[in-house]
Amino acid sequence: MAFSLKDAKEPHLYLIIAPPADLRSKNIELIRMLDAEGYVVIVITTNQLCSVLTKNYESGGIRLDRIWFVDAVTRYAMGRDPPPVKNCRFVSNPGNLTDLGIAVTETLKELSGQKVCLLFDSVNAMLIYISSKNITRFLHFVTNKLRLLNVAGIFLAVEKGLDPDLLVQLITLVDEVIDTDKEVRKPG
Amino acid sequence: MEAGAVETDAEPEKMATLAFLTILCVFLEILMHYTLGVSIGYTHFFYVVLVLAAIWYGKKAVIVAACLAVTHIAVAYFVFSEVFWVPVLRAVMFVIVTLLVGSLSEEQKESARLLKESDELYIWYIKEAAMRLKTPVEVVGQNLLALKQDVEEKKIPYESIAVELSLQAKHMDQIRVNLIDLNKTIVDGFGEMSPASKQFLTE
Repeated sequence: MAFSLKDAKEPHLYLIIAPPADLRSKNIELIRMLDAEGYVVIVITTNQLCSVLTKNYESGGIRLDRIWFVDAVTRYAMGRDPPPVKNCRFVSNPGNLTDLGIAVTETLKELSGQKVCLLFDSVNAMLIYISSKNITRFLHFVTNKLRLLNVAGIFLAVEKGLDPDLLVQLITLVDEVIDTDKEVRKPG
Repeated sequence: MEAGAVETDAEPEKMATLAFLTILCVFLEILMHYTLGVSIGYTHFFYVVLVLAAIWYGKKAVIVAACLAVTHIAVAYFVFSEVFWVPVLRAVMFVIVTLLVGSLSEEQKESARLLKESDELYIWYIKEAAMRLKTPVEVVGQNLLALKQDVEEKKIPYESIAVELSLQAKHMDQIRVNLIDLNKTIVDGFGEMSPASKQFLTE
């Protein structure tokens, strides 16, 4: 994926569209790229367990000390509080936007002053738990926060998985849309 | 749009047409009735104006009917110095026909509005269903394939397999709940569906 945050003059927000089968590999690719560019990454995961992501990153040779997680699925899947994990905040379920918002805010606060990028994986998995209307509101809240704090952000979405009307709304929230399958970059 | 309400995009043209035709009716009333003393025939033209007004403005068009009715009776009074039942009957017919056509027009507009609302609801349902059912099922399928691969390659800790499977089961259960919620939205708008069918779709 020919994509870098180096070119951006100021922290940019991106919507990255990938085929469903590539979503997992794109996540790892992005983390590797962000790590190489010196970013501390906050991964908001609504689809994969933090423990699984950690293993994937480790096996991909990525340093874990610069990766923070807001995990909305582990506690939900286990049905109880998971054992504490370093640099990880667990949220009760992916539909609990209040707790998710608080977790993101707290993590951003904790990392203030550092070169941070937020990776949201993924918009489509969130759609299992909240309506398209609410996801737009939530992403509006997140992108506003990122812009205010001058933090970069990447939102992952499945190719052809979003209604064009919702996609248009999401495009207005970001600076650039990247379709990894077609290697096309469009301004947001 | 409210039933019987004016379609604002074409309003100036409609208003101008009605104003022109109403003035023409008043002119005919003066020319035929007052000047020539003919009290029949020309009033048929009035119905063109009244029907048009009723179609465009619903029952509100009764204002035009009342104006023409008063004009017709007034001219009859000026010509004969008394009011006969025939012009009064004609005037009453102006009002009745206008109310009848206006009422039908409002009903038709209301049906069109409901149909449009129903179409919008279906479009919303199809879009939301695609995003909250079709793609999530695809995502869960990919997650399961990835899990299978991880298990085969022994890349995932044993305890995480159970949690991962539990997560995918919860995703699937939520997709089922989404389907029921979406069905409820649609079913509530259906008056003709049997209670048993409604129950089947929403439970």
